[in-house]
Amino acid sequence: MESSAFEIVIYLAWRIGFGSIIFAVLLFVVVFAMRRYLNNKAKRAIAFREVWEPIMLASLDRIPDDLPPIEEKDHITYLIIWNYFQELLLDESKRNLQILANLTDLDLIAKRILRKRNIKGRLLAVNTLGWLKDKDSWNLLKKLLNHTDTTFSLAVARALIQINPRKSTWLILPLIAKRKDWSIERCADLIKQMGVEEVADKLILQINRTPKHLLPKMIRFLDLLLPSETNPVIRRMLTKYEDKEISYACLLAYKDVDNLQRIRFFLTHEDWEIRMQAAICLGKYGSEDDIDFLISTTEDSEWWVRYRSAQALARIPEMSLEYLKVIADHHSNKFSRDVILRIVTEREVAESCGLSY
Amino acid sequence: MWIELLINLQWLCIIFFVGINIGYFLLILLTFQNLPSYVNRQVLREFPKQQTDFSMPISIVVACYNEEGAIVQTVLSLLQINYPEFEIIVVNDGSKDSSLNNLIEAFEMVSLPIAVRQYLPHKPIRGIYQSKKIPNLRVIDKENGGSKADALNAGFDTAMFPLVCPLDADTLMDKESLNYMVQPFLENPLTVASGGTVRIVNGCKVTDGVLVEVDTPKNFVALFQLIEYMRAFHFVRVGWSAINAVPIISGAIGLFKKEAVYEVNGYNPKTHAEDLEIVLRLHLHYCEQNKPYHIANVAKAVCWTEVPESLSILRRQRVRWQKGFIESLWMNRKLAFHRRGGTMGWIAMPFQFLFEGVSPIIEILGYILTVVSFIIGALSLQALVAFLLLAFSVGFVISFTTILIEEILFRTYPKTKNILILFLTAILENFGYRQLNAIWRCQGLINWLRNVEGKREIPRLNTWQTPAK
Repeated sequence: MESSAFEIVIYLAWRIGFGSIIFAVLLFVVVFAMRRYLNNKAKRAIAFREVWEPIMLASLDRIPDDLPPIEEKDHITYLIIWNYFQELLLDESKRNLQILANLTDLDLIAKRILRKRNIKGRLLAVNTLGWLKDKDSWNLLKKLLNHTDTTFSLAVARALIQINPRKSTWLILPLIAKRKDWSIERCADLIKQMGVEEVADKLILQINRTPKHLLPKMIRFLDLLLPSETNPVIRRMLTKYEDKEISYACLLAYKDVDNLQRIRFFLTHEDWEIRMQAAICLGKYGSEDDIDFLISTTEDSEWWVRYRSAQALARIPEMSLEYLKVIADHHSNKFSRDVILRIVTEREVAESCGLSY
Repeated sequence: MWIELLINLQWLCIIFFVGINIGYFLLILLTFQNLPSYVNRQVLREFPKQQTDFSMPISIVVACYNEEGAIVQTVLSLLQINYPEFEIIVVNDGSKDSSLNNLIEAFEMVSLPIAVRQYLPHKPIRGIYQSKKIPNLRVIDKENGGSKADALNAGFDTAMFPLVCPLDADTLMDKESLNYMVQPFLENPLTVASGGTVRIVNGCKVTDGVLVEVDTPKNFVALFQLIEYMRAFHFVRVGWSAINAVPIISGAIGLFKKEAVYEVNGYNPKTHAEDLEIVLRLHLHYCEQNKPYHIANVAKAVCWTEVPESLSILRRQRVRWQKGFIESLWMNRKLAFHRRGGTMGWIAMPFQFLFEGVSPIIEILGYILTVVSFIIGALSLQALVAFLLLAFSVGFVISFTTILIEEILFRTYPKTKNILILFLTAILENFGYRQLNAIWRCQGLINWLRNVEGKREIPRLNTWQTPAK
């Protein structure tokens, strides 16, 4: 007993059912067609590599006289191989790769691909123009620097630095501060590419200009600089700001061996992460004078502070394993004893493996 | 009256069928919109890269319960991961076999004094072992907590690094997976968790913890699961991720901010679906706190795991999963239609409740109603054939689309024969396997309603892990 509404449903069920079967058959055909197409594309790429990888290897010594033509279908593969060699080799070996690129009009190929929509091609193109140090692309790349796509904008930044490190510094440093999607790791890579020594003063200037809420990220990069450059900045930051995030970042980058009094002060900070980081600092730069401070911090209420304090104790140059055991034995606090004994064992294991602790 | 009831229930099944398939098609559309550009954007990752001191270190936590035959191989395979800084923590959850002794012997482990901070709920830790051969390997020995959640909580408590990757003991991780999974944390500081793709290792060749040859399983039960996993990971999770509504991160491969897990008090040992439950609780927590957050799905972070090859073991697994699924949804029901729930609260949660939670009942009901209606003459043969045609053909389209996504973007299976097998499996699963699955899931739902506990252990073949010597 089927109502008219139900009949409509049955009608639709037939139509959609048959339509779906046809669509499913179409998908079946498309999958195999795509497979064939992609297999052919892969075979073509392999064939291209078999010709061009030996050419590129040989080019490191001497560029061959007869270079085979590169068809448009092979452009992406060519970019991949060329970029791979660029990433792999040291600068001295790459000179002939640049000449090879000129002989094959690689810059024109890259610019053509950059105008297309495919993100894979565009990324390769940007990377290529960077390695080519193509000055003609400067304005084009500069426009793309603020692209919302993280991967793409970072690739553009890198390319601009490669083309002209000095000119790109003041384009990129503010973005390093501003862009939350640019990770510390990638930004550190960019700064290293600019040349840490060359850009140190500009980085410090940028840090001084950076608004407070963006400082924690920027301060981390001070770790790339020399202590003589870092120390005045850190001292100023620690004096000026009581913000937990800023203090933490400063402690991460701290290298002021002659000014550990401030660090000792942080051992009693209300925030446990600050106390922990202060203990780590003393482990790196502390001396015999800090032993008592660290022993008392092994009684901290927060486990991580106790652990890092005990580790720091073990890392003080004057601290021997025997002395650590004595400290543990004589400590009245159970938690301190436990954590110090754990560090003793960790250090014994490390030393037995020939590793430093 | 009965006929009228029958017809009304049929309408319910029809509406339900339309709703769930529209949902799946929308997820497929979102996948096609986002996944190709994501995959293409990974091209620069294939080039050699220098490591920096600024990478985010990761703690890998492996929960181990009675894995004497496999755990050493698992650790060996994890040591081959390509990532700048990571540690491996194996949590021996009170194993009754020789798992702990095998680890101690294989990796020359020495005992450390137990000085551990306990933030999360778990059974006491009995011992901590550090490897003399491998400085970044530790074993935590603890009393059995009766659940993987308990073991993971202990792992999180002993993890040294801010990002923690909980893994199953039988997971074979791709070497580059951590590099992929960490990307959302680097690109978005609000990221609290990311999940990857789980693939099936049955039928593949693994040598010394390295996947050397990919092939489809020889066993039909495993093949049906292969298609299911492909659907789940190729478009369901990718689609949800596109609208920031990832409802689950597989227990086999995930990466969490330790701090975020602490904020929600760790994994819940009262559920069998601890991986789903913690993600839902994270969503709920950040909604309630009105804090911005992000949970990502990373399609290229891949791990391989073994699936049951017998129907009886699969049944046990699926009954348990469905029970865990419903109880996790129920535990976090406040998330549904939460005023700050966003796409998760207003779209994903209702979808999960209705179309994944209750769907097995509607599905079984639909089959029964169709047959009964036909028998009593309330449904004509033409209508019966039409409905069956519709049900099967739409299923084919969804599965075939998944195979298309696999072929265009991942190309995991090298042989044409594999693709033909996938198509055949996608067709055959509609004739028996899906129905069985629906029955098992119904049973899981009933177990939840009746509060019946199932068995925790699911026996594994461990075919990819050779016994420890």
